[in-house]
Amino acid sequence: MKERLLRVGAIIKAEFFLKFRRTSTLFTFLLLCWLAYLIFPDPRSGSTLLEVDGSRALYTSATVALGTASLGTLILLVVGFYLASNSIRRDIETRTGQIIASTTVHNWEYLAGKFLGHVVFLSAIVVGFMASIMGMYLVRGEARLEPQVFASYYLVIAAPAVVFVAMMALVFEAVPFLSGKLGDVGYFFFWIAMVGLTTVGVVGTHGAKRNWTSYLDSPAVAFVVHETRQAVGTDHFSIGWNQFDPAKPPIAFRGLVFDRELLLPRLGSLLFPLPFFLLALVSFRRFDPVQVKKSVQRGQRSLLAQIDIWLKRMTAALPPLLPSFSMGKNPSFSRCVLAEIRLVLQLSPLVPALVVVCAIVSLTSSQSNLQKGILPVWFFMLVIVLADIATRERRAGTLPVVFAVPLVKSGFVWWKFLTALFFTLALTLIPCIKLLPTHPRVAVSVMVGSMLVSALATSLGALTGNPKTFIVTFLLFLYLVINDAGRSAGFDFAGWYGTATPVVQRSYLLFTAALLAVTQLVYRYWQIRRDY
Amino acid sequence: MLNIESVSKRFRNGHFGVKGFSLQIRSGVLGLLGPNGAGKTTLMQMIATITQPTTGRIFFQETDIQKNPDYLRQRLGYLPQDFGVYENLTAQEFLGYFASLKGVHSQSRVVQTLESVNLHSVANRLIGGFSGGMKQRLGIAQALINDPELLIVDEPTAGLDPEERVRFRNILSDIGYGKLVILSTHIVSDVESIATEIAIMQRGSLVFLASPEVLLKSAAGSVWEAVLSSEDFEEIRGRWIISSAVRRQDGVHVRIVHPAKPMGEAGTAEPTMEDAFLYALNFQTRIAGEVGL
Repeated sequence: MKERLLRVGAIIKAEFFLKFRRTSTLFTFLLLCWLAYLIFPDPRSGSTLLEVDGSRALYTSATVALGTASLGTLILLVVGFYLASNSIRRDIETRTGQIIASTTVHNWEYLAGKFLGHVVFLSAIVVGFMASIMGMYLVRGEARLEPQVFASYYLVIAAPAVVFVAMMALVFEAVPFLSGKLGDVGYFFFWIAMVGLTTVGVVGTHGAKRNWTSYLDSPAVAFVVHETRQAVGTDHFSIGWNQFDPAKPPIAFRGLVFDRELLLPRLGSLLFPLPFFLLALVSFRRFDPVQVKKSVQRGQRSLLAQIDIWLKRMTAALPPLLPSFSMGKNPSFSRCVLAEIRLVLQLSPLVPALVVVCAIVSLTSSQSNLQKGILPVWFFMLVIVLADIATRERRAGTLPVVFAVPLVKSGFVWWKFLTALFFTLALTLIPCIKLLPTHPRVAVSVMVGSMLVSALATSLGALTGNPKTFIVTFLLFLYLVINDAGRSAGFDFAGWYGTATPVVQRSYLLFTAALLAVTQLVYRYWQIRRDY
Repeated sequence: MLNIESVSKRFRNGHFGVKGFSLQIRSGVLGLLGPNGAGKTTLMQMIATITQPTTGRIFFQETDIQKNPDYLRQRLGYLPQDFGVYENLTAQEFLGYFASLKGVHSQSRVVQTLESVNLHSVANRLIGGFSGGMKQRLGIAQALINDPELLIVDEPTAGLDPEERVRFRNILSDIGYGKLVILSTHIVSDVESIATEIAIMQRGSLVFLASPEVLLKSAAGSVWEAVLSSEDFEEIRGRWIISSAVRRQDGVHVRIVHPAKPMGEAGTAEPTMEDAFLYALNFQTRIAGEVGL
């Protein structure tokens, strides 16, 4: 048994180092530091972390730990999944999985090592976040720093989320039909459903008692709402960046009471993801190449993949028609873009089918439905459509081949951006034209939003080479936009709520241009470094 | 040591990766030759217990490895084809990781193995900066870390420059006496200097198994040399199996592999391993009859 535990320990250690040394981890830590600054506002700005009936709660260790741990956990549940996942896939791609399969390592040891490796890595991120918050506390805190309060609050709030995310990252990789891009997007909706279920279950009671869903509350949203309600004695409070009434005196938040009633549900939430390990164990194929192929084939039997295959057969006749406009005697940038569009259509015939369906729905919908109901759906679809465009070459190792094409090397970023914009407009142009006569400002916002999403997919894809960066960033942003529901003009990036002002539109446009310019500069720098 | 009894692997599409393969071998270096798609990798994966045979049995030291895979796994070193690495680990961390998975906890063994593949000077460098040859040497190091009794290396020299290929061959030939090394390749020169036995596979089946000397002998009298004009050379290309063609001042010097004299001006030549391999592949029925398979 000692030997087995040593092997699990080796997998945990390797997993941790592999993840910790990635550029994306450094990027995440920088993001966390920025978030620490953002979600812990200076009260002199008129905003606060915890607002109760218009008053602000004094920045004590309890207030700050509760507020930041709950917000940080929500972000961790999404970002953490994408940071932790891809470790079994990596072992398949590097064939190190086959080496592991040829050793005496048992499947449960391997999966336990991966899961615990995720737990250690995500815990390190949480500790890093907590440390940066404590750093901010030294600047903005209004009482003595109590590290033990921070540690205990983060433990009860974030630890179940860490275990949950680590387990889901494992399960979504081990179960064939959940792995891949569909699973990446699917997890996001799973997360929303999870937050919704536990919140409705606990918050909806309006009483002191908890129900069974509090034992499944990995996101801790319901827990935090329930405990804060108990502590402040009212339902009128909010956590996050909130405005408060400076005329009202600040209140002192009494903090959590660590009794049995508080700890048992948290312990339940901590343990609740563990049975999912069995699902991963049953689905895991120990890198048997035949089984891995079967899993891929099983994945291809999913409805989406079946439609894709079916459409591929139907559109087989399409490519011969396309060269007439995508090829010519002289190379030109526009021809390169057309060739790239053609390639996307060939690789995924689902895209043109989607465009046709979207066009029909857009044409037949009322303006109101189009703006508030349908456009958000189109933007969610764009996550799947655009994620691969700027990352395909780096993942397939064909970047040097593509760079040999005249004009593409120097204009790679614009090449990808124009392709992404083409497919974005294929979905959003009809709504934009329909909205133009009656809601010109909204139509402008739709266009600005289209440029933004195309630029984001291009920049994040080109810089990181990983489609998940765009998927997670944009989905998180969409979540914020939908939750804000047009209350802040700044979040209405694509005109869904009609609240975006010309200043907001110009700001997004400026941001889009800056994003593309920075990406182009970075790409040129990389190329020069490679060439000389 | 290794006994393969009528092993077949049938895929879901009905195709056989390996069909009725039988082999008995003791210690030494077995060079497994065959064109791409011959079934070498599938056979090696079955021996390495990564995938199960559809029919047939494999015994290692009299133990049925399907029933007791851990018996073989404890004694196995395996380097898969197109081996990749964890680029964010150092060479020492990477090797230490696989050492732990194989139950080797001695740090000195890790250092010693790195020395044996000449990577000790870069032990603390991230693997991401390694050349293809260095990565491949690290691959063989992980396969050797547990001092295996059976070493399986699948196409280890693909993509390596000539110097690295020679170095890799030397590492394999230095592996201790009394062990079995199975080396799969489609590059004949990789095995000619180090293999004690050669097995040739084609379309999933074993078509030849013997020592390199017997393989060479089998092609004796079936290799022909001729000097042709460029026009004549273009005319005979495709008609005969040509093992080499070199353009010189007096014309194209060609080597043709065929049981009978292909043309009037051709004379017999001493077969090379490459010639013998081509002969075995293309005239397999005749050879199989000769060696009694």
